[in-house]
Amino acid sequence: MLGDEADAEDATQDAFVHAWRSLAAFRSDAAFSTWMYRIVTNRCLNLLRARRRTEPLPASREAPASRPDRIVEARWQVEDLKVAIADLSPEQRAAFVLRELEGLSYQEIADALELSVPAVKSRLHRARLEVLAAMRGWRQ
Amino acid sequence: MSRRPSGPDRLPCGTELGALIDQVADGVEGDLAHQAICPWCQGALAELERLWALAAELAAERVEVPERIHAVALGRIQRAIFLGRVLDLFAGLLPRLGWAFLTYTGLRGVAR
Repeated sequence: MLGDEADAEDATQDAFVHAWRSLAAFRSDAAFSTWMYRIVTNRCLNLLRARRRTEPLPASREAPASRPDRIVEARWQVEDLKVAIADLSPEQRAAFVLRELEGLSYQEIADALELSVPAVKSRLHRARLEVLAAMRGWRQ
Repeated sequence: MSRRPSGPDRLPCGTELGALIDQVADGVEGDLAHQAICPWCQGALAELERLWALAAELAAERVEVPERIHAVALGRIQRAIFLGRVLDLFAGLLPRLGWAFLTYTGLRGVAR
């Protein structure tokens, strides 16, 4: 989600402390995991929005011709995917990561992001198209 | 097969790219009869399946949680608990301290 280990540690610590402080506000009608996803995602979004304007451009990719074999090629493609995800807006990135990497349902994502299910679907649709376009662009 | 106007989100055969993404990513049923004979849909589906396989590979990557995260988070919570107790203590003591101060300095009588 953050693409940076130090930021991820900060967000995790903040989320745990925030969760502890907000435990009284937790409603048992919601799943605890969804509640935690909401807290963690909010911390991540805050960090991403804060650094949006100062974030350096992703590192330029090595030309495919210089890659030695298929295993390395496959590894590079996963790295490409990480860069494509990192290039999404924070809001799109959150929807994409929660769905494609964390495997949450649309309803769970809607709860975590405090959006309607149609809004999640719309955001995810745009995110998927952008990731696809980025991956296509690099292959050409 | 006739070519229809295509855009970035639509294939030359007229199929919405989003529909194919839904098919690969969410298992939504697609137009299998059309896809069986359409080279554009077949190409796009193959590309999408490669991309979603990469996403599955990325999702399966094990992320090691640094041990210090627990220690640091617990430390912060313990400090917050301690601070909360200190504040509670002072919140309880403050009126009494104020009363004592006013009483022993003789200001309480003046205040009345």
